[in-house]
Amino acid sequence: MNKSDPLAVLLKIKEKKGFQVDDELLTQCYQLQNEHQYDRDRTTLKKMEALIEDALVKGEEDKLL
Amino acid sequence: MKLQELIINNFMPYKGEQRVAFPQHETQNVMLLFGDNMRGKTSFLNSIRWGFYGLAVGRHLRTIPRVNLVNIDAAAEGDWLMSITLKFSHNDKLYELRRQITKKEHISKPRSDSDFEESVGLRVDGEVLTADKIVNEVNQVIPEEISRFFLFDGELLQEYENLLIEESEQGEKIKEHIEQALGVPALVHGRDELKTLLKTARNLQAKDAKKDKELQQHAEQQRQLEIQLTSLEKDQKDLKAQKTEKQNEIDVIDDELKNTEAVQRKKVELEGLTGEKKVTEQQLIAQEDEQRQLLKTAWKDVLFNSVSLILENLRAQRDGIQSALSRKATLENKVKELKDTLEDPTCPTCQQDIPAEKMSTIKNSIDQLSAECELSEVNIEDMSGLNNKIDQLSKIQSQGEGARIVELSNKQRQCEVELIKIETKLDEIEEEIREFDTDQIMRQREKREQLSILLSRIGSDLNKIKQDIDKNQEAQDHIATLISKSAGAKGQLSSRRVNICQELEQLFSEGINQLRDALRGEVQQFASDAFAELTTEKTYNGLEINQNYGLSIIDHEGRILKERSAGAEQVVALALIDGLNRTARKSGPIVMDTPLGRLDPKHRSNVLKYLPKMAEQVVLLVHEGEIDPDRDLSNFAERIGARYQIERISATESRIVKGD
Repeated sequence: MNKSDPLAVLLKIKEKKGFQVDDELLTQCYQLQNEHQYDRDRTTLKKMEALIEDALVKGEEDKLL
Repeated sequence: MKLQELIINNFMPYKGEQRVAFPQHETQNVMLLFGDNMRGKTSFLNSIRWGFYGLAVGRHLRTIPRVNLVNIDAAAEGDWLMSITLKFSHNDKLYELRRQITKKEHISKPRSDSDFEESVGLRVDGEVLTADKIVNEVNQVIPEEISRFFLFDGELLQEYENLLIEESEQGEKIKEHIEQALGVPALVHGRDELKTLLKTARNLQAKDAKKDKELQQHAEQQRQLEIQLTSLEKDQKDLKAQKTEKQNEIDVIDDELKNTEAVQRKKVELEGLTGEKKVTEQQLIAQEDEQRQLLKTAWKDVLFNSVSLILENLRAQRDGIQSALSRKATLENKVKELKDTLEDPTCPTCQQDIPAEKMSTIKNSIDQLSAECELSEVNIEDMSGLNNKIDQLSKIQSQGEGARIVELSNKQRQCEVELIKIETKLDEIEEEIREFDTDQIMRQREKREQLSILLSRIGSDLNKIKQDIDKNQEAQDHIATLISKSAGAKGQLSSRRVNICQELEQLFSEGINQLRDALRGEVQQFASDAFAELTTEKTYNGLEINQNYGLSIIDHEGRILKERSAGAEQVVALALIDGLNRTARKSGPIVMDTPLGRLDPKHRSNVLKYLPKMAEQVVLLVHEGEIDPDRDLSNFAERIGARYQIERISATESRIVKGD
């Protein structure tokens, strides 16, 4: 693992803390921020919200199935 | 990213169109642009910066107003159009970025930025991008936040020393830029947005909880905390705005003071000389007083030598009289004794009678001695007269007044010469600074000090608010968890949303600190490797990074080197730049303005050998004092891919010409 790779850092903390949040959601959130970290106009809030809402819906569906 | 071509038109000293093609070769990757001071090296650097970001900066990264960006001669001829075109490649795509400003039609002579209109266009592989996408596209290729580390002014390398000073304002600014360059913003933005989403999620959860009787109290607590948090965040925002405003004011004053540094020095010198003048004048007054005192008794010193001779003579006379008196008394005694013997001719010693034949001899002796006695007549009045004279003349004593007066006169002359020198110097300095309002400079210095104090107070207030916000959020997290775990809310969509947001927010928050630590380690390693090649002192163990990314030199015994020369500072700063570039980005050019200014020949040689390895393209803006074309180029001749020279046309116009 590259110690200075931000995503690797996030995943490692998650594992250490035993958090339940999905790896995929965490990765998507990071990638979104990474792609837009130098954007002047910040438009990622809605996209982050959408990622979380999608994950919630997916969780609901999994429960139903 | 690779720069291909730069087309400058009417930018600062560059009147008309000037073209520069950057080297594309893999190993011949260095471009040299030679130019004397004030000919336009920094303007060349700024032309690239302005082309990419619409920003040209002076000291303290302060923005240069648009009106100063347009070539003064072109503007005087009525040509207010200034443009920069940058052609570059990135990920196998060709980019052509053109940015221009021109004065608005209704403005006759622009005075402020708003008197200009700016337009920017970008083609990617021949396809024109819409205006709203250009800024983000440029930032994807070559983020402005990182630009400080690849478009940099070597003369500002000493600013990096501030990273070693705890709580230095400038150090904080540079640290912020470094972290932006290192990719920390991805996590910082993520954390901030997750905080916002968490806030909304908590509100929704509280609304749901309000419907449940058992959870109503928690919902109310959450609502109160939310109100408090909103207020704290508003205060925090206001204070941050104040901090920025005050910092900007300080930067403006610093710029102003920097421009008048020479005047300030002269003013300090002036004050020193005025003090010296006062002391010298006081010395002169004291010397005059002393001289006046000495003159009162100086006549004694003048007469002393003559009087001494007279005194000697008088004392000899007195001694003579005293001897005569003494002799007369002795003779009189002798005559008396002999007369007594005549009357009673018995020897006083043996009591025998003195024979009659001896008596005539005694008589003769009496006559002779009486005659001598009469001849030794002494006038007692002469004696007292002499004593009087001796007493009077003995009062004339010398205290060396004459010599002291001469000595004082010499000192006075020296002081007077010194005073003339001081006064001449004072006149010169006053003439030099006559046009400057030195009182205003001093006022500005005081104002800066007051602003610094204010800034420090704002910093303390911000820390306090941050602590309060952290506490508030902890409390909200706690209540949200209680609600989530309660039977009524467990599994509810709003609780699950809060859980996800909480976890993500915590991960991003903690990730920032861990990433910072990891990045610091990486920068330290890269910078140490670069430093080992750049330094001439091979016994150094490397560099050690602090919390602010400041680098200290570690000696052979593992100790931190306390004092560093200006040259060492520059080498460390270059090593840091290299470490940051290697950590932050995998490719891209480096443009350096005057990077070798403070280096000795050996360090310069090391740096010149190392620079071509620092990036895919290295553009060096240098004067011939830094790189001697005859002597230094041999260090990396095989790496030079292009060479240009800035030629002076006039004081306000320069031209870039291709070299051999």
